[in-house]
Amino acid sequence: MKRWMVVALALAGLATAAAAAWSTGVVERPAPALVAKEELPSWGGADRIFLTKAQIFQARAQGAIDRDVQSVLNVRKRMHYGDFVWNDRQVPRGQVWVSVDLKRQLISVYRAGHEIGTAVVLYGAEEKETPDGVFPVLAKMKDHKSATYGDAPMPYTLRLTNDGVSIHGSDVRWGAATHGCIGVPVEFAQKLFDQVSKGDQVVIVSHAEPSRLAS
Amino acid sequence: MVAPRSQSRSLRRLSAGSFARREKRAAARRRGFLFASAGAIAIVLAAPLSIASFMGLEASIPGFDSAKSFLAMMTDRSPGDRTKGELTKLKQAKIAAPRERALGKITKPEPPKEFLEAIAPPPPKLAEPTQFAPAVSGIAPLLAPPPGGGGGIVIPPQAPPPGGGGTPPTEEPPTEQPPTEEPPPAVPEPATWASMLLGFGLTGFMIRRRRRSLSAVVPG
Repeated sequence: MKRWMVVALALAGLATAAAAAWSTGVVERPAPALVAKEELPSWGGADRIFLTKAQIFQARAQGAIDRDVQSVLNVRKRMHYGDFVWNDRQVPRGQVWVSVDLKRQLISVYRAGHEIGTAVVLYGAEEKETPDGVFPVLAKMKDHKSATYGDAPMPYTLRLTNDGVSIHGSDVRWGAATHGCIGVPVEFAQKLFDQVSKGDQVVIVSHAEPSRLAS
Repeated sequence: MVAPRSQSRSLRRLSAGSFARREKRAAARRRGFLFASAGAIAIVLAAPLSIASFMGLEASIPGFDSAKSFLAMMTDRSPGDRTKGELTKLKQAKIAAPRERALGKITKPEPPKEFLEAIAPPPPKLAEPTQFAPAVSGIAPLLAPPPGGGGGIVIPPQAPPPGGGGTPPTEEPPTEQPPTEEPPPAVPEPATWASMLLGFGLTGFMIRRRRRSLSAVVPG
């Protein structure tokens, strides 16, 4: 008698776990695939991940991106301070835009909807926080010296706001922060500088969290 | 001699029947155990999955590499959230001034009389007494000048000299406004109350325990 109870209990637990997995998984589960499987391009090889329509839809609903992204770089490992990945092989010419995720401390550069570069960034510390929003690049300055902070070198500056917030090369390391700017590794800044032209948009998001209600 | 044989035969028959039954029962038990263990293992294996899905994460099962969400991919490559403690180069916040003032020394011995007499009575303060009186009330009686001096403080006799009355107040009093310190409150702080109550509680507990242990010992 007892063992049947144990078995029944086990099965009940299993059923509960399955129900929990199913019912909560509904929220996060991408939309069911269409009958005909979506054909994704494969020219990027293993270095590029193409997003399905469902993934794009989900990402937009979660507020992670505000425009369509066709592919992202396949970063196989967790990046550390000062790391970056750049790969624009075979990526067509097109509109360039930059997305900055402050919470994840990441910057992504997109060209024609394909991610061509990503890096770990520094951002503003408390009291001088990096603002959220969409900023067109106002000016490009290759060898800029800070006027506000004692001639601090800010190579490859992309100015975003009139009060001085910009993206520039800096020593990205653990424990550092900026005065509201976005600091990227210098080499990355150089590549970014070459890609971005005046007027291209930079989207800064600080709160992109997967919210259950959103999707 | 006969009886035991028949007995043993019957026993054997009986035991044969019971043996089969026992075998059956053992098989059932084994099956039940198998079921139970399978269920338990399934639960254990499913636990991470269910927890992950409950927390709104995407469980990654090796071999079933499903399409990750965009955010999940970004999270995978990110060094993580920046925590406050990471910022080593931030300016240290100034240490806040103590919010509670140490109690004034009430047991301070009274200075010798000659000394008190030697010190001139404090210059008259015209505007201050109303502000100052409550603040120093705790210490005032000790520092109060002898009665004779008190008479001296009274302003009218000193005031008549021309200009003399006017100058002292302008020289010092207004600048010497004491920081608005308040006398320590008469009611103990909550922490003091708490520790007192705790002490009472502990005392009561010990007494109770002792009594109980005594009562436990006595009947035995």
